[in-house]
Amino acid sequence: MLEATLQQRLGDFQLDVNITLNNTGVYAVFGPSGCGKTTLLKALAGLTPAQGQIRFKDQCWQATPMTLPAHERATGLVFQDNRLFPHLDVAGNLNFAVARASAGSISYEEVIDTLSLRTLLPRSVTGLSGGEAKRVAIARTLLSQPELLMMDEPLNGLDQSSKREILGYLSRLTTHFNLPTLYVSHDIDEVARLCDYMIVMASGRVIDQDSTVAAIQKLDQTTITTTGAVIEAAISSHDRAHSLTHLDLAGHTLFVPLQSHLAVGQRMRLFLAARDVVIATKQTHGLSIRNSLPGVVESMHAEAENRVRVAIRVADQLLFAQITRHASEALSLRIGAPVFALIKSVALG
Amino acid sequence: MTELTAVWLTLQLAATTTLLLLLLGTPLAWWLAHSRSRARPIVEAITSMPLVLPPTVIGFYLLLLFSPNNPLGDFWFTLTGSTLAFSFSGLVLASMLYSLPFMVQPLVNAFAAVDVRLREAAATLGATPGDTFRNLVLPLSKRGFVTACVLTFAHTIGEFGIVLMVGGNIPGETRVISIAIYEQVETLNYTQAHILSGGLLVLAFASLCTVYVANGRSVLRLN
Repeated sequence: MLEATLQQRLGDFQLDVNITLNNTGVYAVFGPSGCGKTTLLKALAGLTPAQGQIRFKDQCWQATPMTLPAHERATGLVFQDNRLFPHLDVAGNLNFAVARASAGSISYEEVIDTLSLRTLLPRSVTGLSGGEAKRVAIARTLLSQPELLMMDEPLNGLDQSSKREILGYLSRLTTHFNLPTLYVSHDIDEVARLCDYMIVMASGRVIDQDSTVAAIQKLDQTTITTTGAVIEAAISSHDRAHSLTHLDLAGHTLFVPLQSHLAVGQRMRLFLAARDVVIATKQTHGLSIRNSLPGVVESMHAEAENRVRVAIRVADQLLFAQITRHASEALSLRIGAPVFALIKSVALG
Repeated sequence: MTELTAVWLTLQLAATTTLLLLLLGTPLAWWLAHSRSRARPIVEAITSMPLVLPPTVIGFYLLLLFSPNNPLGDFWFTLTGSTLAFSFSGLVLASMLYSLPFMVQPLVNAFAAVDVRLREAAATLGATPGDTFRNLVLPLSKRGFVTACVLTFAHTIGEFGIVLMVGGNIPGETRVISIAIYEQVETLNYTQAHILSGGLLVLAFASLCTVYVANGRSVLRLN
């Protein structure tokens, strides 16, 4: 669907990437700050000059020296800084996109409803809160009927509650509108929650491209701020009385905060931070921790001088636990040992 | 009354000059605001020359340029059968040159203030560069346009030296208000001079008020 080979030199920085998107779904463009994620997005959108080739579906966007100008590419880019037009109100900003959009399947009413914008329409864009402005920016981009959606760290700069709110909107709209999406982020929680695939970047290059679950397992865990693993599980039931959702993980139950927007039987991905996983060698009783999953130690890596990262295989999924070396010795952990992974809390964005 | 003819002529001159400069100054200001060419500072300097040169210097060179011995003057003469010197058309040309910085500078400032990031956003929404200019840059530079037009109009009304040099004092053709005032004072006709001068004073004040109101609290900068 999208095939891009791009090179660009900016002073000392060299972007040299080769990416292929074959499916609809959300692709995380993941990597530390300054690794060229935003530059890649801008080059794909035609906003920054780069050498190379870009093919999207049956169109050629770039084959140096030919390059299609930004306004002729069917991309939609949600900028980190929103870039709403200050001389237009919310409705005016949305209509700017509608008036220039080619025919497409995204309906105005659906976008307004999905992002709860109806009451904001007559508002001036200068008075919007961070979360509101982001919703307007996302809606404006969707209404330009993009065939390739790109989002540049849409949760950056938002406070915790706006983050949660926007994350909810994003997970709804990516499934609802089903566009091939490139989602730039350096936050592993976000990526695990939203993205089906990962394009992992480091200093201007793509170092891995795989499904999110597989890519996170392969990640050099020292390069990310939060060490952890992504697991996938199906919803077995909702316990509204306790505001919990039960997930089925190969016959074991995992309790997570209520996910009422998901139906029973649907699969969800979640991120388990290594610092939230505790290891026990025996089945424990009398603990407040509700999540206890039996597994086998798959590997052990010394991390800092006094810590060990233990990979635990539970059914076909991999979990990480971060424990002290002292604890690892006291429990005589070794590869192949049966253990129980106790999960203190489940991060759900 | 001949003084009414002078007032009418002055307004015509100022309106024509403003309109033509708007058409010429907009692309020039856009280029000055965005070009990375090495010629840019030189073009900018030429544009600002009328701010520092005595009007008589500009007038003198224009007179030479308007002469039928010169290619421009000759071309005009073959085209229209009259000379540019001492004609309304010559005055318009001279005023355009003289008021050029008053049109261009506010527009350059206004264009430079329109964030390139907003233009990028417009492009990703499918707007062509022309579309972006009309529907994003123009509305965002509205104050700059008001300032530029009012200043150009007012400055053209107030010019004297250059008119005297290239236009002379032909009623209905080149005798503008400032020339009329000079003549009234020379002939000790102070009542007429008062009416015309007072009128210009009020007009200048009203124009500048418009500019400052349009620009909100910001201080007017020409450079």
